[in-house]
Amino acid sequence: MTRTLHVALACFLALAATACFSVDHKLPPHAYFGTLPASGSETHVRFERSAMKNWLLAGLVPWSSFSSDDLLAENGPVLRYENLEVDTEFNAIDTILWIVPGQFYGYYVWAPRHITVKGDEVRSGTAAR
Amino acid sequence: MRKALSILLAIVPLAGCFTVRHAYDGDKLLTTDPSPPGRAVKLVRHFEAHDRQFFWIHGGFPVGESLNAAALAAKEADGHDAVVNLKIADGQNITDLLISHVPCVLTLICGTWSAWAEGDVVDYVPVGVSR
Repeated sequence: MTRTLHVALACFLALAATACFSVDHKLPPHAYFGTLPASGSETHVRFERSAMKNWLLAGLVPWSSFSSDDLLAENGPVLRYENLEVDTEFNAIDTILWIVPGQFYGYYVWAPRHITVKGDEVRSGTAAR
Repeated sequence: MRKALSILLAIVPLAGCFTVRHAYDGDKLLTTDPSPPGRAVKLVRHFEAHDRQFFWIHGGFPVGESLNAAALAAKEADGHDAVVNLKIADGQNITDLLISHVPCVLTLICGTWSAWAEGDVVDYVPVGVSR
């Protein structure tokens, strides 16, 4: 029985470990890397949004539930997103949060990354850019 | 105070650790859309692509070409028009984890990171031709 439990625990840990710091960049179905041919009655607005995603146990357990498409929150109808750039970044803030307090709370307690989505929101109409 | 400053100075060069940028600036159309607006497409094949990058010292010094799942998808579409139903991801799978935590000693010496792209390679159907 104990051996079975150990095997089950090992399998669970191995499975959990396969998602270490993994970010599945969910994007809406009208997202484009690159640009579509321009139409005369469309407006392009450049955007850049970023948020910190947090994990426990050195990246094994995410406790921030947002995904990349949450950073594409629409303020009015958007025809599509073009010229997308999606970053998973371990920036200076993440480094400081992880390593400096990590001297006290331990390396495996809190591990952040920043997710950034940049691109053009394409809307119908010819409003000011 | 001096120790804290020393730690901060030491980690500044590592501020780019494990950064992955997915972007594309080429002539292929890469989209999450099943079909681009106004264009009919014909499926060529489905693909799942994976790329791995090696880093020295906690991710501070990456080796080789940068990870980029969008570029990976574009490479799969070589000789064709577009990729639709595109999904991208990055992180560490079990192999990355074993490399980074065992021989690389908890990423302190080195480590690896991965990017994944999945989608359908398609060609445009010429206007006036039925699918």
